[in-house]
Amino acid sequence: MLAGTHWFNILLHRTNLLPVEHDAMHAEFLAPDHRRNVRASVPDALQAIDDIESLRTPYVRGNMPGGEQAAAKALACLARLRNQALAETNP
Amino acid sequence: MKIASHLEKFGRLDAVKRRLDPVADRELWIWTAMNACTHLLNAALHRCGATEEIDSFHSQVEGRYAVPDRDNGTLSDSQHRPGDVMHVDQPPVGRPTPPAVERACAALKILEDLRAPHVRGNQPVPDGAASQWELAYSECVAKLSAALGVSARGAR
Repeated sequence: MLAGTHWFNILLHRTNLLPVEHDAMHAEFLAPDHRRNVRASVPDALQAIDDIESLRTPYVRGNMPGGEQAAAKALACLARLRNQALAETNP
Repeated sequence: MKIASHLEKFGRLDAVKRRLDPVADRELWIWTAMNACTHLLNAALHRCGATEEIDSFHSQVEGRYAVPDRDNGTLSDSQHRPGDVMHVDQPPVGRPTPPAVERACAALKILEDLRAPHVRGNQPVPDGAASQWELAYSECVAKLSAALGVSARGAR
């Protein structure tokens, strides 16, 4: 989640969706209009960070079974975020 | 969550934290230390009766919980009184807590406040700061272990 949020912010800065003076802390708390813009521009990245954040309640704060699968899903989402941020950095 | 589940979580996070260097791995050290102590704090708050020992998990929205259905593996949203806290005073406990827990909360707040400069931001670590972080963690664990009636080693 920490790494994914930094990749997400790199992507938002590179796509001019968010100025470098401001970082997104949690994707779910982006202002509604801004979040719609992000969804329209980088939908897969938004989905990936949303998916990572959704794992925190059941698997970090909570103890739902399936933690290893959740961790694997988080790593897959992180790779998607990284790839998109790097692709935008190096078009 | 249940006290036993919080203690299990604390033990696992504490074991991970021991593999991290507070300066070289500061983002993960801070995050892991904070989450470990938050689980121990929730166990202590439940034990002293300040919060209720409920099988629910705090969400990212203050005061909103996810309640598991253990039979079918699903979660449902619930708004109920604490329950687990997400961070110190989030949500407010609203009941008196023992002095040891108060002191633990002050130590945990030190760790929580490291996120902005060192996890989200890239402020350099001042000389000697890491030892203060370690001290805050040790203080928090010691006070909460005492409140729980277990040794700090026992909490692990």
